[in-house]
Amino acid sequence: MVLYLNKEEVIMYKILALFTGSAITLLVLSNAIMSASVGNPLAIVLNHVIGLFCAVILLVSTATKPKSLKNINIVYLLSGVTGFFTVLFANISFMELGATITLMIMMTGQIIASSTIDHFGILGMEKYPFSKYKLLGIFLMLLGVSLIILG
Amino acid sequence: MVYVFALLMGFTSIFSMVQNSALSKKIGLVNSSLLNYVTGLITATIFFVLTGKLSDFSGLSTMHFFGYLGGAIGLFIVFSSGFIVKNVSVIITSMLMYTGQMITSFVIDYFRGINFSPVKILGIILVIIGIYVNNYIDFRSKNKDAKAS
Repeated sequence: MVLYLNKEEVIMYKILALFTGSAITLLVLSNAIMSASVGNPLAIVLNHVIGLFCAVILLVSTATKPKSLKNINIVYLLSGVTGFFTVLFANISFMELGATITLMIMMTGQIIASSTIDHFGILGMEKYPFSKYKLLGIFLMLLGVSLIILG
Repeated sequence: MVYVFALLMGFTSIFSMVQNSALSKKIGLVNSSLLNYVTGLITATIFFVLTGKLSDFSGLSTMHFFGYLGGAIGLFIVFSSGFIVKNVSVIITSMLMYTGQMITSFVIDYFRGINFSPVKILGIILVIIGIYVNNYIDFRSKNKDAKAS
């Protein structure tokens, strides 16, 4: 756990995390609405144009200085490419499955991904070894996903 | 097949979150958000050139305004998740985000009038239990580590 922050700060970050989760669902909804109107390829382009526009406003308003990208791992630099695939998959799934089922299956994927990242300390994140008790949780999730798919 | 996309979306969303967090440590949150959209836009443009049509633009006139907000919401997510992960572990961040996501998705499906079969509802409940079991175990093992060190 985080030891160098005081309690109030940690709680603030946690509340922010809750809102960020909510925002992820709203983002999926927003993208799906656009995708339904103009098709997936154009929707993803426009989505990124709007996002880029907001990021530029943020850059100007905070007077952030550009930094050199030299010596930075290429995997870090390509976060936007991964983000593109997230939006693409999300739009397709949301239209067909609705919000809840899309998110349930996505969360199963997230648990698998974040457990793997935690276990190996991938991309410079701190290492948290995988506990075999977690297999119970993952088993329940996979069973749940199976029922969702079959039901 | 669409279920596979939903699962892959789980992988890519966590992976990009970690990438953004690592990148923001090196060049700051604003720069990393900007770069995130630049590389994403390049990828999306290539995808549009390969699979899209110019006539797609005509759909914009009838679109609900909420469709335009995606980019802004996305920026908030990129910005805040980079901010949170630097201070709280990935797993705690994920757990809280899951809760926010679930509540919001139930509300959306309710208003869209989407109904689920009893088997699907059972499946959803199992996934939710699984999420919290996992996170409880993570939470305990990490607390122990923190106390030991």
